[in-house]
Amino acid sequence: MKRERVKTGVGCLVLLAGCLFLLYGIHRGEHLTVEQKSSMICLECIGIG
Amino acid sequence: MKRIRRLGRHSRLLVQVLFTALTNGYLLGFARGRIYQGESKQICVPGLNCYSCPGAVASCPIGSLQAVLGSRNYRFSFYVIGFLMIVGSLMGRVVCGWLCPFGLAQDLLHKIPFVKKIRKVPFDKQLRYLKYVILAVFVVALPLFLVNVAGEGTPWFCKLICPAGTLLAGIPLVSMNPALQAAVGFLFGWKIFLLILVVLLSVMIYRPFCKYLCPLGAIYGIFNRFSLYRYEVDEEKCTKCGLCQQKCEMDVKVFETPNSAECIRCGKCIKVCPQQAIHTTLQRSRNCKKERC
Repeated sequence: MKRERVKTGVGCLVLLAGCLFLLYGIHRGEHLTVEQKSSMICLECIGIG
Repeated sequence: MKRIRRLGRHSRLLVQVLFTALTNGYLLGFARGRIYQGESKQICVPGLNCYSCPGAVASCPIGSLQAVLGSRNYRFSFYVIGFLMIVGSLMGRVVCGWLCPFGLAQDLLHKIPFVKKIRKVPFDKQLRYLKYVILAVFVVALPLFLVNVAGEGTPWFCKLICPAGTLLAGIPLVSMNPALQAAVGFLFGWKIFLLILVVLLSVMIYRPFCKYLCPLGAIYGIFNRFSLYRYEVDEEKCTKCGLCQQKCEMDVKVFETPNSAECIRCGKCIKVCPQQAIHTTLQRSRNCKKERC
């Protein structure tokens, strides 16, 4: 039971760190790079580029 | 009542189809041979879903990770890695079993009858590590370090390997655009060859791409051990009969490692256990609430 609680604790910590990472990424404007790349046909993805 | 029960039995398939339809819902794209360009493309979907699919309304996390790593401005992606950490810590490889469009495609292919199904693949244990190598080399190292004169990297996994991109984006776009048809060359042929190989293998082997090649599955697999949604085996109830492993198509020894990195959380082991010894953390907390523990 204790082991399971530790696992849940680790999961919560990673979740929290993930949220912080995501927010920092948005602050740096990484989401705009993602949008820019995904709004054009990715020639590499379709096997042409 | 019978109909509801039948729906319950196929609940996973239903969720897979609905989620695929939801994340690829830009039907106009298929009709016009164009891709969606709205703001929702800033957001990643949890599964392997090419952002160049004409229907895609959001972005593939593996494609996005390579795009940010390979860009001039950033050498690390807090945004995509943060997203993967959130999804992974919440549900691990539930994504593979329930939400990934390419997982759904492989599931459907494996349902094709009259073909001998292969359960034991030679060098299976060694081949399972291949997806980690692909993640490290093609998704991280090459886009990060192999850059052009402008300092920009290439999404090497998408370019050389990803069959989901060929299936969801390459075939629909090339078939509808004469300009793209004119540009088709060796690379497209190679990707079609890989796709055909994965399709043929999927008919015989259960989810070969997820087992051996998928870098997204490799990432979520790391989270399986401690994600908030995981499996638990009641040691007092379990008789180690091995029925769960027999039923598991990913060949996981559920009674020993219920949170193996290979488990895609399809739930078959829970249903088949005669002792009802396997449960999820969600079921445990629900039972706890009932018993007020």
